[in-house]
Amino acid sequence: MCVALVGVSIITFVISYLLPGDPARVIAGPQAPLSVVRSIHHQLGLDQPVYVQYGKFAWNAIRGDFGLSYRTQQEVLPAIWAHFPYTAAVAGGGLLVELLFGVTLGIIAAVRRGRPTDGIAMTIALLGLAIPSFWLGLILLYLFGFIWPILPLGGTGSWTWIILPSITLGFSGAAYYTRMTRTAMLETLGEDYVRTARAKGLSGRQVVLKHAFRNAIRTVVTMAGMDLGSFLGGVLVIEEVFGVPGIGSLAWQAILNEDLPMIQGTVLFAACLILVANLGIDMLYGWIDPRVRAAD
Amino acid sequence: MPALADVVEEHALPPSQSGWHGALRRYGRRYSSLVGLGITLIMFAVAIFAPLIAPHDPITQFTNGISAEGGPKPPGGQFLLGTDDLGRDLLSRLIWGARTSMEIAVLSNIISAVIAVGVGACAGYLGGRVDMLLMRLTDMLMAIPAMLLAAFLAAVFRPSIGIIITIVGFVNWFYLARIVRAEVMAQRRREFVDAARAIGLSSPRILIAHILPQVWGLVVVYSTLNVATTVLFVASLSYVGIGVQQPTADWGNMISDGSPYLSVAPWLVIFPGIVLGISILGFNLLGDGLRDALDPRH
Amino acid sequence: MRKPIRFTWLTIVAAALLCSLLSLAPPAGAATHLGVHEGGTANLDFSDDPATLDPALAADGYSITILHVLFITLLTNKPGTAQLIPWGATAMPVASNGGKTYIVHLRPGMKFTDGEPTDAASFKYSIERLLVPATKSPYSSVVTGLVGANDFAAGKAKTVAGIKVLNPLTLEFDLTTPDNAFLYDLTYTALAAVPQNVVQREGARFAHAPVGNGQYILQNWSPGVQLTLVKNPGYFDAATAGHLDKLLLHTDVPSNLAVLQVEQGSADISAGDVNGGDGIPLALFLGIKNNPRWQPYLYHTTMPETWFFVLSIGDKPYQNLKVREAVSYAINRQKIVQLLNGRGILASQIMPPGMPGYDPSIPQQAYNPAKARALLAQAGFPHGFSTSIMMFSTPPGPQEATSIQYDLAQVGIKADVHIVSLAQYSTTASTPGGAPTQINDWQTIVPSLFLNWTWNSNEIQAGNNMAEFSDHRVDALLNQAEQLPIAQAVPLWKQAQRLALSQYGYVPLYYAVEYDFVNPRIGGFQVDPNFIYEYQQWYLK
Repeated sequence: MCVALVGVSIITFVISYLLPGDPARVIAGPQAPLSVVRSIHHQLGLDQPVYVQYGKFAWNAIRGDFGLSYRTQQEVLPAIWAHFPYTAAVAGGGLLVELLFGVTLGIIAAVRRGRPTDGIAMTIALLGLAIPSFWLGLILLYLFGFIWPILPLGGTGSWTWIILPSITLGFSGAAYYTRMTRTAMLETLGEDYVRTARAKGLSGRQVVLKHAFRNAIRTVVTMAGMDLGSFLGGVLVIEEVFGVPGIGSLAWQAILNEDLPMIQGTVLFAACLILVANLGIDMLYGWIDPRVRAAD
Repeated sequence: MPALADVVEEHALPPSQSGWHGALRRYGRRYSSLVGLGITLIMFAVAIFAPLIAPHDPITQFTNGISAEGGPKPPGGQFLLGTDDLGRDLLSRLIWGARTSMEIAVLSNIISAVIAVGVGACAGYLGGRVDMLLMRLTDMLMAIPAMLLAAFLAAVFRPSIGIIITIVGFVNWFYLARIVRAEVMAQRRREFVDAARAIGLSSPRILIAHILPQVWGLVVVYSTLNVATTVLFVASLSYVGIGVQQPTADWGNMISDGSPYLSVAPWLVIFPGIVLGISILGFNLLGDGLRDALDPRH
Repeated sequence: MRKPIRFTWLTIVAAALLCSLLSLAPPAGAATHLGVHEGGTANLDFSDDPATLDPALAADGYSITILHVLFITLLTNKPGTAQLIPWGATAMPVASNGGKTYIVHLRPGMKFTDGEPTDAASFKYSIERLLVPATKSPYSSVVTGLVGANDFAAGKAKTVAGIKVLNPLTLEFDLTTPDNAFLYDLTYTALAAVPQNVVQREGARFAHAPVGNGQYILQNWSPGVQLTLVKNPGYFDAATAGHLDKLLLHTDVPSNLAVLQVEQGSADISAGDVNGGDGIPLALFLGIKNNPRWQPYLYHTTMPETWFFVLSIGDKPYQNLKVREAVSYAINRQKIVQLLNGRGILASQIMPPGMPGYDPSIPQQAYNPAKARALLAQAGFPHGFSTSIMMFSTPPGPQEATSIQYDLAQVGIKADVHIVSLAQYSTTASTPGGAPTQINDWQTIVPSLFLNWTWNSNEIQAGNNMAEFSDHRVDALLNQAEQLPIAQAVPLWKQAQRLALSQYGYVPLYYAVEYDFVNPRIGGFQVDPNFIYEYQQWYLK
């Protein structure tokens, strides 16, 4: 994983280097005289060769110092941590909605397989996939923030701010879970041992929950982990639509402002979370299913 | 990451057992697949015949398109679905938007497919160090959130349509590459490969002539599904401002342009969203149908 | 037990008397004069954080408006007007020595909130600080006209000879040549006094925790959340002191949400981003303006602010005068103002009306696409050419750019619109030849800047003269005018402007009319042409 992180940082650094525009000029402002721009350039060490700049950056990064943001002149890492709770809240809320909504729909669809309810459930799930999340977010804002003003119109005032972003995020991603749950459960529901259990007299519900669902859990957990990882990196469009001051918009602003230290910081932070999440799943996966561990 | 690759491998498709005929029959049996096919065909038709179907030019800023005080006009009269903040006809822009979306989606997916097959096949066939290197690279690129990666690239190269196609193509091949790799690995283990080797066929020939055709079905299915994702992705990019630029009509930037007007002219946001949803739905159903048709297990 | 009726009756009467007596007594926060209540808190909604609160660094209107109540400058403008009045100085300084020397007497009693006195030495230190390269101040070029400034900046001198501390309450400024903009310079927040001890101790942190001497103190700044300003009890002058106790500046509130909050009463003003983004978003403006309920909430002023279209004279097709003239005829200014819902006045010239040097005899350029096409054909471009328009992403920037793009397309010029962030703009705009065309604006109360920034060739390197316009006759007129008192400079300005406009490097578009959406409970609100908001004027009715 460390190799991956180093790789990500190199890629990010190289692309940042390619960004047109001089950070010194950005800091100085468009009307500053050239002498000021030049001195800032020198102060930031931008006149040194790429590998030296990267080396300095990496050395500092390892010690937790990502430098000062070009735009705010404040330290990068503390700023990221300050914005992280908002992203984490949306990520958690979104995942919760995804799981509750998606998995439940999947179970319903599997149990009522072939009947109209199955079709309806799958269609609802599919709608979530098809409807763009930013559009859904806007429409929900319009309905519940403006027409029936029961929820806040963005910003982070009272705790209710988290409801609409979570629903939007969750609804959009629920389809995958629905499908996965339904498929996995159908596989198990048809198997012999389940029929045996039924024959033995166990109630339908018990059969479903105990055996069929367990099969689904494996893949659900895998996906949930990956989702959590990528959500924690900051879902940009959700943050933009709802005005959530999370990492996604922080990274976005950094890119727009060519704020190199902040770009590095946010991208590495997000990548780290994704990689940690993937690693976590691999380990969890190995623990849940010993066959895979043996094959490793 | 071996564990994830195993999951992917489990879902890799075996070669179709009853040929194209059986596949088509299976495809046609499902109602939803036909709906998907229908929607896709309609979208392509609209895209191709846009100049003929659209009532007006999509970039003309009509002087009677805005009210005297400068606001957008509601649906009705000359402008069937209303106008936007610059006095342009919404319906015409929606129709031309289909052309933009289809163009970008199809072309970028061709690029993605080419990269994915290239990377996946090499990794899967050659194995060992090459495999590890390529997969590590893929992992690293996958770890960077796609939107940010695209934003990055868009900041370096100014977003013209061609650049967008390339960027989107470049950001979307990772998952397909893994699938191709898994399938190629599975194929490679089969006996006919050893047999081919034994009679002296060179590796590239084996790869191209014998293994890749098996992979083809997969690529088509996942690329189709990916078109749906791409349409959404490009719309998101346009929404935040780094996708399709003015004055070209694109459903994403139409939603973005319209969002400040949500409380006064909601049609500007509602209509593009509906069209986006329908087209993404269509591609998804099409892809699902293809996948089920080519894989009898489902 | 029965209470005697008399007793009950008496209690009631006594209670009533007491109540009426109490209602007559002045409530807490008494009005000091007609309707003005001292005290109270105002809630302001902004769409993001100010860039910096170090006076030497702040170049955007948002930060400057806040700094205006944190730091005292020697002179300032009378609120709501472009007229100069003394603030830290006892009176308007009079020029002597052929216009090269100004003696400024300071008012006593000014002190920073850490106790350090504000005296002549403080001002000297603060102005010299602008010239020190390590400060990275964009204002260094403003004060290079002082004697010895360049030597000091280059490190050859330990101090600026042209700033003399005659005694703790008297300053002398010596300029190398007379400059009719100098008194205006003294109104810049960059030339306010800053506490030397604190600045040297805090370094870069000063920008986030400034220590000032103005009407308000920055109590707290949580980036992305809010800034808290509280009244400065140690402010030296009761006549110009603030009325509100506290100002809460909420940052990161998108303007459509801000407008709703003002409507609902949870915020007092939708301030947008004072720099350029409107407090009332373009989309919502008509709905608000046409709704009688919001009439008391709306304020408007024509600003000394001109929007114009810049043609990069160094770039290929624009080197030809006829091409530039064609562009001027091709642009439909009326449409732009219509798109802005009427929040603009067509501009015939760069100098805005109300400013000395505005020439009413200059005719408004007509919209004539046919003539534009003819001119292009004459210039050798019968089929037009390709170009690009650069513009900020803050509305109504993109709409203006797209509108102009369309106008140009009608005469055969294919333009692509390049919407940029501040970062991209800073780089591209200041690189000679960076953008073939762009839309920009000037907003200032200093009349000479409208002409110098636009047309003086000595502003090319600084990035202000974006078209790279260079005409030695215009330069001569402008440079000569700068050294004359304003009344005498006006005829030269008019001459220079006529000459420059005839060369079409810059195409004037419109003068901005600013609208603000303010809760009527806020009294004393007016749009200031210099600082937009003058927080010290606000009170609760």
